[in-house]
Amino acid sequence: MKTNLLFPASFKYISILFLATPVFCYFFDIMLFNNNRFMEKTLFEFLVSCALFLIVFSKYKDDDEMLYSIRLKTTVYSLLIGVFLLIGRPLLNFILWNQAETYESAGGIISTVLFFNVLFFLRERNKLKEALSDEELH
Amino acid sequence: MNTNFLFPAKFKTFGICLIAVPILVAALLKLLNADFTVDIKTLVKTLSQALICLGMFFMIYSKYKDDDEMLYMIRLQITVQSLFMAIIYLLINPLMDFFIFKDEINPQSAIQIIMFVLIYQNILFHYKRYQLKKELTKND
Repeated sequence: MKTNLLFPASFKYISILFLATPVFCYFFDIMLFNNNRFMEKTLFEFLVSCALFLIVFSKYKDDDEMLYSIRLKTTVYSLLIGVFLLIGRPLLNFILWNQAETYESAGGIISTVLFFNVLFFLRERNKLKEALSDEELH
Repeated sequence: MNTNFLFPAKFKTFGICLIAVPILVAALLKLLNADFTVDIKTLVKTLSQALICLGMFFMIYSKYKDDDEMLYMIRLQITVQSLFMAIIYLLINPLMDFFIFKDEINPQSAIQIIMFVLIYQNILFHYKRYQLKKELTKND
């Protein structure tokens, strides 16, 4: 099976760096792009999205066919959540608050999709690990 | 490989309907010169785009009669690629506005990026599936 579509395992450490950068800038009040809040927000959304992406799509030492299947499954579910958000949000806004225009940023939806992807992936991976260790015990 | 997370094959037809219905409704409303308030127009536009996205999603992630391990790998590969492209696009677009065009930075909407991801996935998936089929028939 072709496995070179995943990033090397060391990219997981880069993802930690990517996640830490916005937090660091926030706590130490570091301003980037000459106080251009929009550019700063875009950059941070990019860094967080990159980090979440690398957590799921970099190689793990226990990578096998099952984990590939889990990756595809969790990505399908998280994308479906993203699409349902696109439908549900404007509908809810219109029904509850009579607001027709709902603005959702591209960075926001990509981070949400990837966040759910990471959650589902880690949960499924843990379940798989537990099942394998149970099998070994019995 | 565990494959039961894909939608049943009939969801493909449902997906095509989901793409066709908003387009037909839009054409019909244009023909009838229907007069709606701006609010309703905006809501209909947003919902139509979201339904087209859902239709495209079902077109890729429902079962095909020739589904095998290779096709699952193709799906995984294009999903990884498209998400990665979306993340890059997220940064490149405002950077180009800011540094190259020296223009006001326009925020991108969520529908725009999800549609980009799904169109990319659809085009690549069907192209690769066609190539795989051609190769298999050549081998036979």
